[in-house]
Amino acid sequence: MQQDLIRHLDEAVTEVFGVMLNLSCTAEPEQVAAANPLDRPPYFNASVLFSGRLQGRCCLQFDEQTATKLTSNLMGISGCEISRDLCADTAGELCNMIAGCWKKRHPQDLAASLLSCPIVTQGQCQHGIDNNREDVTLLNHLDGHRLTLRLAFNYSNSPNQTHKRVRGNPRTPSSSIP
Amino acid sequence: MRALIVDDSPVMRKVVERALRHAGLELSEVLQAGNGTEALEVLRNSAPPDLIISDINMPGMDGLQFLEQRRDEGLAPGVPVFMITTESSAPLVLRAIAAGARGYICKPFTPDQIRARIVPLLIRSLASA
Repeated sequence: MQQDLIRHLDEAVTEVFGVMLNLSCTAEPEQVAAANPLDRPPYFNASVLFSGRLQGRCCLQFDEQTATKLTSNLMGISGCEISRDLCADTAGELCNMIAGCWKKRHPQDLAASLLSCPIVTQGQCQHGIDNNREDVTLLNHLDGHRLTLRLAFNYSNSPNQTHKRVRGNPRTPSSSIP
Repeated sequence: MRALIVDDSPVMRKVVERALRHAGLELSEVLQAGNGTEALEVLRNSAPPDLIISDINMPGMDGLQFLEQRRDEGLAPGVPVFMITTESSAPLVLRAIAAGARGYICKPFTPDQIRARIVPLLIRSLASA
């Protein structure tokens, strides 16, 4: 289960970054990620929630330099034209696409869920560990930049929740860093 | 050609516009809306575009509600609408098609996918107009 989870997440990241950014990513497992936290704050933290049979959260975190690189590649514009708002927007969109790509690799009956709009914050990402959920963190390297991806989820037995759409406050780069 | 791009992400609106141009569409004007409500306002107050591209998951009125409201109000009835979205579940696709979407493309997407999926339908739509 854990190996499939990591493989599917890695495939989702590879697909999104390859197709949308023409960048190749290499992933390392959770132990490596935990021992090598991102070291250039402030961070952009994007989250997308799953609601339905599949419940949980996909989080993507990277620093400003990485955000500038990713936004530049995605939009095809130079670094001097890139604002924090555009970086936050990019973080949300990439997180959303990775969550969607990961979800579509699930068996259809288990993947029945809706994605929320992305929620983006700036600052240190704080997550509690929930022992009732599958939880995996990947550290990805791309072209000299690093990003962290975390996925925590479980499966609900209540099919009625499948059609409940969860919304976030999309792309609100609320900063906890002065 | 005039296109209306509906997405709450300014980055994705730009990405979609670039993909349309890369696919060979000559866009004289690109109208933009951040959700379904804004898109309806554009359609009520502007000449109909030749093409509408819409996301589904947006704050406020989402893409499916936009399609249904557009159909109910009879706004730009002959204009082809394509959904570009992360959501790929069959019920959502069917609901979008039932509400008038002509095509459905999942993110992530390449300009080649845009060309292959949208341009032929657009040509047929313009020919029958």
